[in-house]
Amino acid sequence: MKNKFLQWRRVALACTLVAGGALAVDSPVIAAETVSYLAQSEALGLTVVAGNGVVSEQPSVGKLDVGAVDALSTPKVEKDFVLRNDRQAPITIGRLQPTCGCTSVLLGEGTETTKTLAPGEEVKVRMSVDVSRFHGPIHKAVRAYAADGATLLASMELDANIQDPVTLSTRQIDFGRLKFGDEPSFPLDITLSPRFATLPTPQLVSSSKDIIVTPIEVKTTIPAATQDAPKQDATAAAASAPPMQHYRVSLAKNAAIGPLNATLSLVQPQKSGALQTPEELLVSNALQTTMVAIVGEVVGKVSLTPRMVVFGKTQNTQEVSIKGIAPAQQKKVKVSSSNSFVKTRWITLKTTSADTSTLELSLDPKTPPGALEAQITVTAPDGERLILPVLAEISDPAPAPAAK
Amino acid sequence: MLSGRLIKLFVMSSKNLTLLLRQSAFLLAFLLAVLPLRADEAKPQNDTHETKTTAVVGKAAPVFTLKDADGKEKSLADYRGQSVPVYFFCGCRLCHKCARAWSEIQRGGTLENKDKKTSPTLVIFHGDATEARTFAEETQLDTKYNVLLSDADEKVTQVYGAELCPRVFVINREGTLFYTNDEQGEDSYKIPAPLIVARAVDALRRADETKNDSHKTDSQPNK
Repeated sequence: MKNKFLQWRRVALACTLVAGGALAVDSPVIAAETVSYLAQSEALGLTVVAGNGVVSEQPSVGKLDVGAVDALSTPKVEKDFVLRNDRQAPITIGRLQPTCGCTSVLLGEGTETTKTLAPGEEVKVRMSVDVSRFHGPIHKAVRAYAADGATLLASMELDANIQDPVTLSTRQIDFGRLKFGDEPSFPLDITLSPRFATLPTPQLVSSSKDIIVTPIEVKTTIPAATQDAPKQDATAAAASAPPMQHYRVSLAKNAAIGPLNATLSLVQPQKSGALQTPEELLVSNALQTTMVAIVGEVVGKVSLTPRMVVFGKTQNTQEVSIKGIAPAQQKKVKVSSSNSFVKTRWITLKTTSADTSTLELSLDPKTPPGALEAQITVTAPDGERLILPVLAEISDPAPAPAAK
Repeated sequence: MLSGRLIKLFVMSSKNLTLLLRQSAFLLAFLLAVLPLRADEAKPQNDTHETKTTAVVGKAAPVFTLKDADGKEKSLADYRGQSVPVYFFCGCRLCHKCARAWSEIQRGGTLENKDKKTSPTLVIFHGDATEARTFAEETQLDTKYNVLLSDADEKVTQVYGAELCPRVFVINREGTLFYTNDEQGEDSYKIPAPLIVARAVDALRRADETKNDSHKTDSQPNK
């Protein structure tokens, strides 16, 4: 019995040693699960072929840096990548996913949406990026996924530095904290791309009536090095220098109380009734990325809480408190809505203090579905103005009950 | 006598059994130590191995850690206990419009809760820290209300399936993904910015009102 026991013990030890030894060293004898896992992972993963500017530091990641791009000359950047199957089994590209709505992608000749690559087979992937929507550095990518749509096979990345068609002396003007009635101003310089020599000169406009844009003059800057040069050289230098515009950006005297939420943008003058040429459209799109943000705050005797109203899906009314307007003064206060579907009325709350009034906003049941943007303007007896932005999503109305 | 022999056998067996058990335990421990190492070696080193979107409405939001504009690491877990909007931006025109609209809502006091506090918004930008800061300045995203995070290699973007921008997610105080703006299968870049932010505000409010019940989250299927 003792011998049998010892025999069983030896067998058990031997089995354990074999299994442990096999795992400890490189050996073809490995667990079945590990084999299938490896085999599967070996079958996935494509190689992004290096070349033509494409750098592939990792087999499945290819990067292409196209450098500076003038959006006016090249509104769309198109580059080709090549994917190759270096595995021993076929690989199916199930989908190509761009990382931005600005990027479109074409697989092969463009007639297929999926492709199975045999071992060693290559396929071209064309990435097209609409760069007119950007300025400055951009990083866009297209990712190839397997047939299951979720397993990543390769990543193709494109970097570029989009040159602005216009150079601004600043992208933000901060008026700071001001009292109602103050009229500060700031200078703003704009340098246009030489392309605008043959195009209508864009004008700077403000999104808010409270921010006034005044052109000062249009002059050409003569480079200092040529100022002492002979007259004809200086004239030539002035003619070749990019056109520059100067503006004064000021706050209107009766600017509304509250945060300043405005932007300055460049627009091309349009001839009434005339369609934009393709080039004008291109410029117009490129200019949309050129903006100056206006920040600051105007304070006065009246104030709003909250300073913006967003209706929820189930909300039909919202209340705002206006401090500085007593209930007795409500009749002298002018309230107007920029959208007839947004109604207002004064209400009285028990919790309201003596110097505060409450305005109720409501949505007309007949408001058409979609996004609703409006402004409520409250003008106090002494001229102080409050602007209340209103935002809402109006859902489709419930279907009418079926006729019996 | 018989009992004596049995006792003797039992004692011998017990000793052998103890020895066998000890040796087996040692070998088992050895195996447990070796197996995980082999399993790790079996995984391919290629970083483009499986990346699946795991952000599903109604499920736990994938946790991530990214660096903010100052280089400090911030984790989603740091904001547990409050409802948090998470935006993914790439810097295109629509992202600008959306970010600007959101910053206006924040400064308008619309997102203040009952305690008059505004939950921070996590803004994840497809670029490095400098580009993220530039984007924030241009869109007036105030650092008082926003935590600016850089996802230059877009790893978190992939996990959330947020490649097509702008994307917004609302995560409730329990860390469950409550809402995302592709709930109706619409491409986010086809929706006007005011609509994107209005829906996000509405979702944030409802997330604050929902308490500890994951089945009360937005049950729209996530594609």
